[in-house]
Amino acid sequence: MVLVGPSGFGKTTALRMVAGLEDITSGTLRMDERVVNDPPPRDRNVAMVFQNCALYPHMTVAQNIGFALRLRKLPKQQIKAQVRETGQLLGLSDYLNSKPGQLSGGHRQRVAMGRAIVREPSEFLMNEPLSNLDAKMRVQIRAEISRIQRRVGVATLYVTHDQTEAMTMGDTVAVLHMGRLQQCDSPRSLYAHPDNPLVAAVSGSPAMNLYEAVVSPRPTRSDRATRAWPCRRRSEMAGRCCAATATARSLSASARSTSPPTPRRRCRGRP
Amino acid sequence: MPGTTLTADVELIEALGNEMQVHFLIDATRACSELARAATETHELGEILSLQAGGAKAEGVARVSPRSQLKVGSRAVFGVDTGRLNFFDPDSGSAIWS
Repeated sequence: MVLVGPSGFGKTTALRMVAGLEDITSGTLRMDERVVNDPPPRDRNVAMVFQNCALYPHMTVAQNIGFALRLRKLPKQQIKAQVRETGQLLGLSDYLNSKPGQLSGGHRQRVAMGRAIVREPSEFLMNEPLSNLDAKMRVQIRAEISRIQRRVGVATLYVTHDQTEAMTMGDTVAVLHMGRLQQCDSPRSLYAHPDNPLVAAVSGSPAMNLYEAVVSPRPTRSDRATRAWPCRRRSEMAGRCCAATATARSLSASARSTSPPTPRRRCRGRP
Repeated sequence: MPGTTLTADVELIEALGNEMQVHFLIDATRACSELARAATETHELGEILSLQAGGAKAEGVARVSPRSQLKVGSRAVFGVDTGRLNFFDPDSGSAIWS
């Protein structure tokens, strides 16, 4: 599940409420049918991955990954085995004895993931884990996180402001704006049937083209196809002009000129 | 099919290799209801786009084949898949389904 929306509109707050770092003033938070509004963070068994990794700089990668296990006072052998296994899963086997400072941003983010995975939480909470990486690394780690998440099979709440991340990583994407949930759906549905222009703006790049238009009846056709043409000022209607995202693949362009568009068709919910 | 095309002036072309993003101007008014404005502002290009809002010409972006021969400054005709248009109520911002 991905929470997406512009900065400052409540994604991180929502995530922190799930983690128990923020008090919930109203509403209920359920995990596996259990109401968890009140239990302190440590009793919720969630693991967080942050944007800045938050690794311990003086510890090796292995020590960083194994930290939570050491706190649980597990036997050394078991910690070692689990750390090795996690390292393998994340492609960190060669770096287990390095310090975080010696690693690239991508590797550091993997260590942060490892630290979360090794705790075997019931839920991962990820807050913009890719924001500090360069573009190429971001694409690579993005795919890796999705792959690892599928393999580990742990429910993940992922917060991002990046629409590509949201669309590629989410099974379900929740679009937040000004603290309000705009739409919660599969990436496909968000793209094809956005509930409002805000959702349209975060599903697809480049963003949807929005124009004012009058939609009026066209007697010759009564099928489901509706048309909107950008025109007249007063009766505003915004249509997803296919020139943008939705139909780009079928879009043809040429440098000839044609007659201006004429058809009009009424839309059921016309204001 | 007549009536399912948009005639636009090509303003800028971004060649990305796998596709071209063509920025164009058409005779239209960019929707500028509150929600639509908020929507454009959440997009990276929001500021640039909002400058166009309310003007006689409205900016838009199209993705086209990288093999297209479009040139900056030329007039382009875009085919529109009208079955995939989306409609929103300008007051509430809600989608309108047919």
